[in-house]
Amino acid sequence: MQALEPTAGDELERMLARYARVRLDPSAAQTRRARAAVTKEAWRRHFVGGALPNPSMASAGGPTRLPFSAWGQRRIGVSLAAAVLAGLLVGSTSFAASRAGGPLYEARLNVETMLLPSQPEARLNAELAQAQARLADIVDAAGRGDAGAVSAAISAYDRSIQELGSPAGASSGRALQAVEFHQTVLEHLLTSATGPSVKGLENALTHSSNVIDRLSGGSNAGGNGNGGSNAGGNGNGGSNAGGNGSGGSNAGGNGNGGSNAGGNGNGGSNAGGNGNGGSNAGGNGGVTGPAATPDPGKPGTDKPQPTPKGPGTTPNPPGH
Amino acid sequence: MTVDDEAITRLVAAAQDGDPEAFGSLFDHYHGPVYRYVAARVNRPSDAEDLAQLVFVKALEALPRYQSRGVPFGGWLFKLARNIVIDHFRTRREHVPLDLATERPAADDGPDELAVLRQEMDSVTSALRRLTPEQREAIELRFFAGLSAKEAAVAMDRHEGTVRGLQFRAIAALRRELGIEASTDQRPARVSGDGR
Repeated sequence: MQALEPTAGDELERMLARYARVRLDPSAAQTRRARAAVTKEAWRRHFVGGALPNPSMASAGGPTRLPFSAWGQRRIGVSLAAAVLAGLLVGSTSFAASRAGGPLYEARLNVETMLLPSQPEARLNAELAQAQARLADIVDAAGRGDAGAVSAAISAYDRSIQELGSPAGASSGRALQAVEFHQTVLEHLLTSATGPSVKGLENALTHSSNVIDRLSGGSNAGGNGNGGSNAGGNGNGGSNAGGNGSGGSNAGGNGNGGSNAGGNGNGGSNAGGNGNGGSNAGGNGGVTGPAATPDPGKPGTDKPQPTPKGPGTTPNPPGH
Repeated sequence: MTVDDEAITRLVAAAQDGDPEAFGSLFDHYHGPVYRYVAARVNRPSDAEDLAQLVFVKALEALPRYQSRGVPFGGWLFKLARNIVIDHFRTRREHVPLDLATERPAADDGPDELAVLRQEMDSVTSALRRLTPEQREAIELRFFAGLSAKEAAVAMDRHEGTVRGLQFRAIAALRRELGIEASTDQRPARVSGDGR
């Protein structure tokens, strides 16, 4: 349908547009902060699973009308149910074989890797999706208490983040944000992990820290100013701030490099910010100064630490 | 960023299926308009930032219940924003006047330009204040948030024709207040589709 939209005339529209720009537009830092918080919440819901049920399922049917309420429908329903059950049986057998720790897991990963697109932006998206899927595998395996599956999934996750390219500009920020969130999840899993999983998770954290260092370098080159924004608690820190508060995974990441700690002033916020330096100190063989001092009780940002929920639960990122 | 209605529909469907990237794209498209609308209502930048962020968090929660049948997503989102602002007014008493809001002039503006700009901003602020609350909201949704009359109608919970009427009257009042002559400037109404 087409309709007439009231216009204000050139001069008034210009004045209103200027007014909006001068008085009402959000600053870039405000937008970054809000985006970091909102996408983090979206990812949290993504990992929690089922938090966003399909609306067509949620709203289907409308009034309380029972399915298969007539005999004819019931017969069709029974047949359909039988077919679905048979399908599920076959599907779940192959699914079980191809999930983490299963005999077809590696083959599935290889196929996924082969199918990665070649165009850089699309490839980065696919690689990020892959890394997130591997993270979900870790969470799933930990939930099942299957140490072998956890180990397989961690190793696959490690590979997936190592394979992340060197994106630039906005892509770099997106990748950085994703890997920072991974750290939050890994940190959370670490709190409840036992046995060989602990070492694997620590390695995964170290590797993701390295990736964050690499990506942070890219972001800084783009002019985000890691130090400044972190010091202020926002900006590229927008994502870092979230991550920092989220259990110190960034503190690990930032302090980790040594170069960051000294160069960008990240160490400053890390020192106050996150006790994650503890794990860095271990991981990197001695980051000096406050960045290496664990201070788990004092996050330093206004985002709370994640609440440990035990191995079977899904991660609960900070601030929500 | 230009995203057409079809792309918005696709992004909304993907976000409803739990795709965080799709929701991120919706955020990118709507954050500026939502922020401007909220900032025009609450005036204090820190409140505007918090509330605009809250709008998207609430949208994330409510998205599974959104159904596109005849309701544009923009209208739905701004209705959410409007309710959040109303709640904010219910719970908070103190408000900063419009002229204390943060100004962000262009970087290359000199002192003279800044003075002229400030005068113009003050005039617009004063003209906006003289509108009725409904007229002002209709203007905010149309010109600050960029909504179509249909979307604004959804957001304001009014008939589309009512919103158009409010906008026409508000525009006439603003032109009078700001001394803009209709004969030299006024263009005919613009034809638009369903979307923005």
